[in-house]
Amino acid sequence: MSTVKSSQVNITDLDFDDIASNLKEYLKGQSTLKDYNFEGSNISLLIDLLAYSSHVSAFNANMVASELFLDTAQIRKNVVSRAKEIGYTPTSATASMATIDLQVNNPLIGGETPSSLTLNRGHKFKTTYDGFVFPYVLLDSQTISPLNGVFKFEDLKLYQGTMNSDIFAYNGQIQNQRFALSEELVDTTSITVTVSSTGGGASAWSQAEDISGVDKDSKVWYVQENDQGLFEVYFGDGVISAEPLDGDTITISYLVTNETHTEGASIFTMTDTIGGNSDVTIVTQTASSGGKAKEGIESIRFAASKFYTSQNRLVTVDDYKSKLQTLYPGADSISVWGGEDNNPPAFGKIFIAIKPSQNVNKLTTSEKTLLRDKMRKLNMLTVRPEIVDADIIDILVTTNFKFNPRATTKTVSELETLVRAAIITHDSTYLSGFDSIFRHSVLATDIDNAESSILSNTTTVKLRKTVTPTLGQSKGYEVEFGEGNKFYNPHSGHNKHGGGILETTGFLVSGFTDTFFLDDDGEGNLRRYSLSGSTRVYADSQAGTVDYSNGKITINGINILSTSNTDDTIHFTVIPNSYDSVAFRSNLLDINTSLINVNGATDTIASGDTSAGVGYTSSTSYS
Amino acid sequence: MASYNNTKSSQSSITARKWYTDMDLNITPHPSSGDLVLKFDKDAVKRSVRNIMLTNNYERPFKPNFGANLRGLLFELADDMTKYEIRKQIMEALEMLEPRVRIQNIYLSSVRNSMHISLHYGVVGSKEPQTLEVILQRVR
Repeated sequence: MSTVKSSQVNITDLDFDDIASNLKEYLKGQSTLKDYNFEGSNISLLIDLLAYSSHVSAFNANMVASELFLDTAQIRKNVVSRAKEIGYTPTSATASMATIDLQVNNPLIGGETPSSLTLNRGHKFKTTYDGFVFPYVLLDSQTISPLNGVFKFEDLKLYQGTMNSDIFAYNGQIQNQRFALSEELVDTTSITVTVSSTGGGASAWSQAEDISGVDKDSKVWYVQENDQGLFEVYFGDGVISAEPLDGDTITISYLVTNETHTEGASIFTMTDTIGGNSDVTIVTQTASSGGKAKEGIESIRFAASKFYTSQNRLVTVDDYKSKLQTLYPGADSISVWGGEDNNPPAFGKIFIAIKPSQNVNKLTTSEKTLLRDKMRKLNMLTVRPEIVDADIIDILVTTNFKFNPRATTKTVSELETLVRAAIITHDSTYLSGFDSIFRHSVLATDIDNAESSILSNTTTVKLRKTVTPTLGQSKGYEVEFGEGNKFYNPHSGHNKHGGGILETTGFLVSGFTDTFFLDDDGEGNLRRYSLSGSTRVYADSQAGTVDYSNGKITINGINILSTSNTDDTIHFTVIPNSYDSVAFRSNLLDINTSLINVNGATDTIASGDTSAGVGYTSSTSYS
Repeated sequence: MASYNNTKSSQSSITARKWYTDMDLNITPHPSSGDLVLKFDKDAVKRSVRNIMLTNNYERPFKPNFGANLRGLLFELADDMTKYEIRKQIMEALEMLEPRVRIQNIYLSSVRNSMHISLHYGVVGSKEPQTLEVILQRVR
């Protein structure tokens, strides 16, 4: 038998075929066993088994190595564990939240009108969503006294889900004792922990948010996700924050939300009574929104690395973006920009715009205050965070499409409905957040694809912003569409006699009885006019300026008394230079679904009604 | 892989040189030398043929088509169609997996819920006819 060196075996391959091939190469170096190339032979069987075993071992080793790193781990508990190493706790499920006003009609307690009424944590409500009933609860207790005999709870926050409590006994003999909550869909922001001592006293402990603020007496608890996907509460060791005493009873109360988030639900009824009173009137202030599933592993991977980069401090714009995902977990979209990029520049400030959910564009005042307070603990001393409302740039879409009636059984109006639905879907798919771009060609493609008989479309776009003037005060205004949304102005004086590219809704000005509107002269001047029949009578040819290249309208000081719009607003509609539009800073692009204009027409060439293009009509591509 | 010269003058040396060597899966030591007992030439080939005939598809890791895949046919009717199918599968498997074998005939007889297979074949490089008897029957 010739000598075979084991070092000649190539051990770097991991696939079954490569390993088997390497073993056969190795066996070529000897003459005792010659049948390794015949698949039926015993030695071939052993080679296959060895290759299989090596392949499985290599795969396992590869998988184990992958699970050791945040970038490559695939099993949730390992991703969570890797994130924990760098101090990141994945966010739990977030309950959808609605705000209501609740008036109790003629309440009686013990046959008499009470002096006050209290709604306790856990008070139950319900809503119907997609034909199913979903529970809602109140998390923060509220007590009111009657105002002019009216018992009215204002701005009650209702959270989707049901309350649950787990009770544990603290055993000081067990090290690292952890208390796993019995439900998976816990909203960890709703957790309250009460520690009752054997002597009878009970105290509420708070969640530790920053380890730098705790000492050995701090009554705080911590929360983390365990390897079974359940959240668990644990306490300090008496050195880093206080430790409960042996035998103390731990009561953990929390909200368990549902897998289905009832986004947009706005009709609520009360399930419980208030001291026996059930005659209530509920007015919904904001529809339910903000519901979110437990953070997925891809999100953890992304957020944990950003969290580590920011080190729980708010310095750069990216720090704010990543931390705000933790501070406001339900956010649909977040936009942050430095004061130096603001217009006008505001040094020493950082601007933040948050779109809370698909259905809600603005945060409430209390949410803004809460967020600002949380950020102030983390940001630089000299930088002030400013939370601003999202501005909406409405996109007014007009589309004229041609279709082949021989390729469909649908009527024109049915096709128009389909096209309208395609535009709405495009809006919700592409234009839901900040930093979004409206791409005209993508919309045109979506319209063409709405139905197979649609042959082409001519879609035009206008942009609209809404301004709420301060009524009864002389004041200047700026209406900004952004540098990315230049106005159409091919030459100086473009459409001067037709009103330029701007149109507005009407308003009344102090000292005049006529209803005024605004347009431009194509030379950069804003003009104020009234209508005499259909003729424009200009009252002021320099009522402000129009900056076509920066997409900005400036209105000189003007005292507006009222507006034609019933909601005291003025609409500014412009023709953009490009049909592609971009959302900048706090702006959100939104196709105004109520103003979508869709017209379908038979393609006379495709249908055979026209030959040689005679009599064929097409739509204008200019707004 | 070993090669051979198919001339009469070298025939004796073919036998002496042991063209095919395989190990015995019983893994028993030689009584005197203590080495692993090996199988040579026609015995090695016979073992290989037996392995192929008694292996079902998907039994060998990463080789789903290995084997004659006869086990499933045990539950078919014991008629001529099944016999034809058994013959066909044995021939296809051996042609594909065992190039050292030339099949001469396959005799099948069903005896009380079992199928007796008698395979008559030749080994390339040897003039001696070979026979392999395999009984297919359910084990429980």
